[in-house]
Amino acid sequence: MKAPEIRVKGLCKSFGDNKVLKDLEITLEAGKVNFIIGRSGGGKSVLLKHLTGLLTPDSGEVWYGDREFFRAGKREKENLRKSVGLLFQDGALFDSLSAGENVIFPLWYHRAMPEDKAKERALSLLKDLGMEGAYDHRVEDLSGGEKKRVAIARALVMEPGVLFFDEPTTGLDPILSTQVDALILEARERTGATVAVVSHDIAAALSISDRIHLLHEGRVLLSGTAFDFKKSDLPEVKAFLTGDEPEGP
Amino acid sequence: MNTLARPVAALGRAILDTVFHLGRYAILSAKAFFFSILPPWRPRAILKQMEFVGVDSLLVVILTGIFTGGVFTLQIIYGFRRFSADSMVGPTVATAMTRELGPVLTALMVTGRVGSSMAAEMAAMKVTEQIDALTVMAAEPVKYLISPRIIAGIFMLPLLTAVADAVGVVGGYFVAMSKGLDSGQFVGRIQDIVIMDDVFDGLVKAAVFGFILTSVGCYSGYYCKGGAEGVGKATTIAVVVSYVTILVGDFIMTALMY
Ligand SMILES: Nc1ncnc2c1ncn2[C@@H]1O[C@H](COP(=O)(O)OP(=O)(O)OP(=O)(O)O)[C@@H](O)[C@H]1O
Ligand SMILES: [Mg+2]
Repeated sequence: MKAPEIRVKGLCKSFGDNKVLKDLEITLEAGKVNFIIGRSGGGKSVLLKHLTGLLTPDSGEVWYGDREFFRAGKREKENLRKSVGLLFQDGALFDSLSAGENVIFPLWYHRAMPEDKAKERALSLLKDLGMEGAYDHRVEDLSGGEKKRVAIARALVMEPGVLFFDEPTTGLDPILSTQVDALILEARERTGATVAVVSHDIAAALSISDRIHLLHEGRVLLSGTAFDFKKSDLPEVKAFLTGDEPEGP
Repeated sequence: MNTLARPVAALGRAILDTVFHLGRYAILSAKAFFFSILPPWRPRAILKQMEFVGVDSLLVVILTGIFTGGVFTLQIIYGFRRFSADSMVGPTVATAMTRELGPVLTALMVTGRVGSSMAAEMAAMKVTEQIDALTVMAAEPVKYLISPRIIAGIFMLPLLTAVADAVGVVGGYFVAMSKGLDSGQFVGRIQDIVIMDDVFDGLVKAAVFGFILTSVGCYSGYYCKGGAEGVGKATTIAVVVSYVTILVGDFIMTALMY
């Protein structure tokens, strides 16, 4: 079960009075690139944190294939997590380590391979992201976009069967954005991973996704292919594709 | 709510809060302990923390020890001489240093340096999601971050205290010399009067203080909330709570030991 289908059922989450997710249902198809789009503050990052168990739902289920995440034992959770790579929206790099040490951290921690092999893999990932010179740089000296790319490399380094990216191209220039999109596709090709990308980049969503899910007011308003989105009549979808305020009813 | 009920409610909330924190602290400490004995072990992480807690605190501890021993000798030497108890100055300084001043002052100094910085470091990692990142990578954050710090505290504080004890007596010695005591008088009866138990009890206290200051520092940072302000708060709380706990714990242990 390297690249499972991920199915979320009836997910509810509130922070105080703020109801963020309201009975949300979403299916991330196995081995496909799923884009999750939606307004800022709409709960996309909160959804990813539920998929990785960093937040506990008020109610609802998260299924990886035939296993429910929150009912899994400690061991099982650990194994599930080892097969997941997550890019945090703000990178969440370890600032006590260098850029390169950040990338090899998961390999080092789980003793997944000998040190020289791990370094080789980290270097090649960094090279793909145009960061080959930064291996020994301190995290605090990196620019925002450089941090993001190091964090992407760290999410990819274990070659996980599930990849979650929270805004991988936000803050990157258009050339780098295209490179990162290509890298995501390439990682999917290489490992067959199930991929979810939270993004505000509608053009990328329309061009590289297998499926797009529009999050609106705590629910998935529309799941479909780029084609479905382009021909949709829903005002929220149209507004999203054109960037206009949604029209009143 | 009427005027009478409000303070009662506040008191109730304070008690509940305290119980909540104590419970969560106990669980975190127990987890840190179990993770530290379960493999895989990471000796390098522990050594790194030992360097930070121990080696890097050496200068502060030496200065504290010398001046404490020195000033203590200054304080007692006149009184002792009035009763012609010159030969008791050395043993008194040595007993006070090993049983009380060495362990407590070392712990307080190290709390200011190490406990606070552990709290700040944990808190910063918390608010920048680095701790979440560890969790997602199936790297147990308590095992990776907290266990090595607590182990380092438990082992290094006794060593630092031993240093403080020794330089404290040396500081006392030089002050006594400058006040006209001769060296035989100062050193002569230390061996007869100060027994190994005095030293040993002091070192046991120090190990407990080492546990307190690292675990409280880590706890307050690990559960920190609310951005940069939260980081500052976590640091302050860690220092204040550690100070009070060390002093109260010192009293309790001393009462139990003798
Ligand atoms: N730990 C938390 N505690 C309280 N409220 C939270 C927490 N995390 C998120 N929220 C709230 O949940 C809502 C959704 O946040 P989320 O970060 O998921 O938005 P998003 O869709 O990722 O937005 P963006 O596109 O701007 O990143 C926001 O209103 C936010 O204030
Ligand atoms: Mg977000």
